[in-house]
Amino acid sequence: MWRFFHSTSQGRRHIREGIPCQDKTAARVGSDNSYVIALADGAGSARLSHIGAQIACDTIVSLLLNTFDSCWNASDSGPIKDKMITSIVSKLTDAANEEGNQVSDYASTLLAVAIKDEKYIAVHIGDGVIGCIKNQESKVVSSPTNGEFSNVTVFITSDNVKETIKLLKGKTDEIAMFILFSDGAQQCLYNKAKNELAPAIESIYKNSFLYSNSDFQKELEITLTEVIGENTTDDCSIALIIHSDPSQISYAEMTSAEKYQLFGISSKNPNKDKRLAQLEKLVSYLQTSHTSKEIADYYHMKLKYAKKKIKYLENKGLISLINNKYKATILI
Amino acid sequence: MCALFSKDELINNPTARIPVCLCLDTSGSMFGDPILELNNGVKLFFNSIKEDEVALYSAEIAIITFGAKGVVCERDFSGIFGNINAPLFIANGNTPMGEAVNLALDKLTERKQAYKDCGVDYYQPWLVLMTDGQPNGIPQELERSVQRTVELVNSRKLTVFPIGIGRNADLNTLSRYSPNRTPLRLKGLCFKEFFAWLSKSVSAVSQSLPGEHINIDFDGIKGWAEL
Repeated sequence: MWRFFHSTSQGRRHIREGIPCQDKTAARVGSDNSYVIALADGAGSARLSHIGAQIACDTIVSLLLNTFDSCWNASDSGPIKDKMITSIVSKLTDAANEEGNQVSDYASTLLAVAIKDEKYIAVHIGDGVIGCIKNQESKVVSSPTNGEFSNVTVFITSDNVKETIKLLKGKTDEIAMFILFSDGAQQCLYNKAKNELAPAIESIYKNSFLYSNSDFQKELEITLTEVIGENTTDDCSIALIIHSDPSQISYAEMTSAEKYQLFGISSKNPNKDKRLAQLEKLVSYLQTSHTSKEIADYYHMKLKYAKKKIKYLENKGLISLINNKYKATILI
Repeated sequence: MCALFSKDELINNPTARIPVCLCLDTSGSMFGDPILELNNGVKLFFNSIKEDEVALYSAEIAIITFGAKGVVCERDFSGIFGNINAPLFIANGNTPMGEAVNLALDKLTERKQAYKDCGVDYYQPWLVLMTDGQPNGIPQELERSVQRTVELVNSRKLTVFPIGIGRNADLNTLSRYSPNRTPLRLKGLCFKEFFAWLSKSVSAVSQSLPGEHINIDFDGIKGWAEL
């Protein structure tokens, strides 16, 4: 199970000059328990790049959720890269044509990570950094693409985007977190000379478990604006996706997809909601300890059927047997 | 106070640098008011950079002169901090402009390599070339300097500002250094106005973000150039 968090912060220079925040983020959970986080940084002098950045994020999120398997299984990454670029440029072109603008007005970078069934795909165009926590240590997954000069990078609309787009895939076995951040945040979160992430990244990961989802999201927003943002006049943005045990997540904060996954209910099951409700009811009853006989009586069913349900939940790790009584291991 | 990490866990990356080389004619014909105003202009440039908190940590200024002692590197690329003052120039001697530009380009190459070795980002370098006459150094050196400069400009690795001083400035030779930008003639002795414009332009570059076009302040140029 994964949790994601993302935030953007308008740079001091943009506030001063009345330019909107050109960094945008997006994140979604798919119905098949796939996850995508995305981040895009609009080009400085492209007047509608804040719109372009959002279009880029939303397009890559949909594309990766809908075609994760075909992207992963492709033996040649070339056509996949082309498809990604073409899809986004097509959406940007539609937006441009609607308003009579140039596609280049919507230029932005793009970073994204998609996860499904212990596999990941990462996409990177331009600057900014994709990192991860693997075996408890932070590592760079994809470093920034810059030209020789500091104010030069590649955008989705650049002529050389096909030569420079990076597409990576791997297993999430030992990976506990992915992080994306734009070049504004890169100033203090990435050591350019050594191509390493700041120690702060590991601390962010470790401290994430001390908060509820909503509190961590708030803390991330404050940190981005008041700490990370102080190191640059540029916009900053950050997106995280963190691997979590169910015991680390409040049940109330789980999405439906996460609840189905927790109870081992297939998203394709036509009766998934009814099944979920039944199992939730049992786990809720077992917030206090009961014997299998008491469980059977509670459900007005024969003991052998009650034992089947108990066995199912025990195998999922959601209840455990202590002193001949069963008790839930999660709080509902 | 940050709850998610300690501030000493952040990285302090060096500021991106903008290397600016002033390549200045201090030959005998600059004697009198021209050299006086040039000195005042460079001093103003230094002071303006020092007063700009962004440009201060970004700008690295080198000064190469060509005059009495031949070609002199008055200062190599470095920042302008604290008590560092602008050098004072004396007008005398010939005009080995080609040799001066070659030295400027050599210094620039060295500096860019130093940046790369230390992982320091940098913006496209600038070469400001100012002369009031015709070059009279070694012709082959002049040709070599033109060729090198044009190659860098055409491959977008260098921005050149060729400025002619006074009626006798050879704008034809200056134009050979700058395939993309017509050389300008300084209006009278408006060195101060030029260097004020230059420091503002440097400041604009040092605050620029990826994908941002650096808009040269053409209106501002009218303040110091004959257009």
